[in-house]
Amino acid sequence: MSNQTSLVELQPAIFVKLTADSALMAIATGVFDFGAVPVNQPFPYITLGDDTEGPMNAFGTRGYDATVTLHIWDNTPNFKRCKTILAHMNRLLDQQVLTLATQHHVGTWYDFSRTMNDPGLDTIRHMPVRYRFETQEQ
Amino acid sequence: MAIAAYPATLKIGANSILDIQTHDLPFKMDTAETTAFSGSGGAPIGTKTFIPTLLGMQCKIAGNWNKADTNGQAVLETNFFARTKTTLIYSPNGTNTYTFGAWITDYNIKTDVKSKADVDFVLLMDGNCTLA
Repeated sequence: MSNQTSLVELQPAIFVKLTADSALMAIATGVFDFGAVPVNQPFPYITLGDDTEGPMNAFGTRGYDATVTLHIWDNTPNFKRCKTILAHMNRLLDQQVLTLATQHHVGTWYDFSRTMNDPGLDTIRHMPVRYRFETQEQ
Repeated sequence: MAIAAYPATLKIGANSILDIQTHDLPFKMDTAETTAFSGSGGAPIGTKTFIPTLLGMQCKIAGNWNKADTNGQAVLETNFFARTKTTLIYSPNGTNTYTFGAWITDYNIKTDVKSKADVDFVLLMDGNCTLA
């Protein structure tokens, strides 16, 4: 029986997909839950968080329409490395198969990204990247 | 009291048609006008009167296109191209049923690069509907 939310399945599946890719991991130093980044973790790295979810039901079957926002963090003077990481993430996730623990993965769509200079010392480059996922229980 | 629609089913025989998200059952009664000069059947002069004639129904079902639903959507697809009448059992609440034979007059597979593949079927009732 499938889980009754996609969110508990999406995050580990995304984590596995990203961390298994040697090209991405040659640039990013890690992928972490939003609140679990080790102290003094070297840049650049990716954090997972900021999920949304709504129903996409059919009669007799529950489905889910979810978004997951990943965050790329860097400390270089520009966004070049962030954009390179974004390209790898799109290669791995956008319109690609994602293996979920129990649910059927309908599709993944790249939805949004932006570059942000975090306030303060202006030394941190931050790029939130949002993907949309559709899944069904099976 | 209102009831939730999520127990609703549309079946072919014992098999639910999968991945359907909306369906309706818009029965329609044709009428013949019986308005007569000087009124008819006691109706006031200046008003129209009718009698019911032929009962019919054409409905649309829509949802996720599912070619792998071999006992549901695939049957509708096969019957559409084979010009074969299909017997359907519709239940708005999972208990009461409306059983009717229908021709599949429209089969529309819809794809949008930004979303999932969707499907619409239009069913034209052929003959009577059995209520239970």
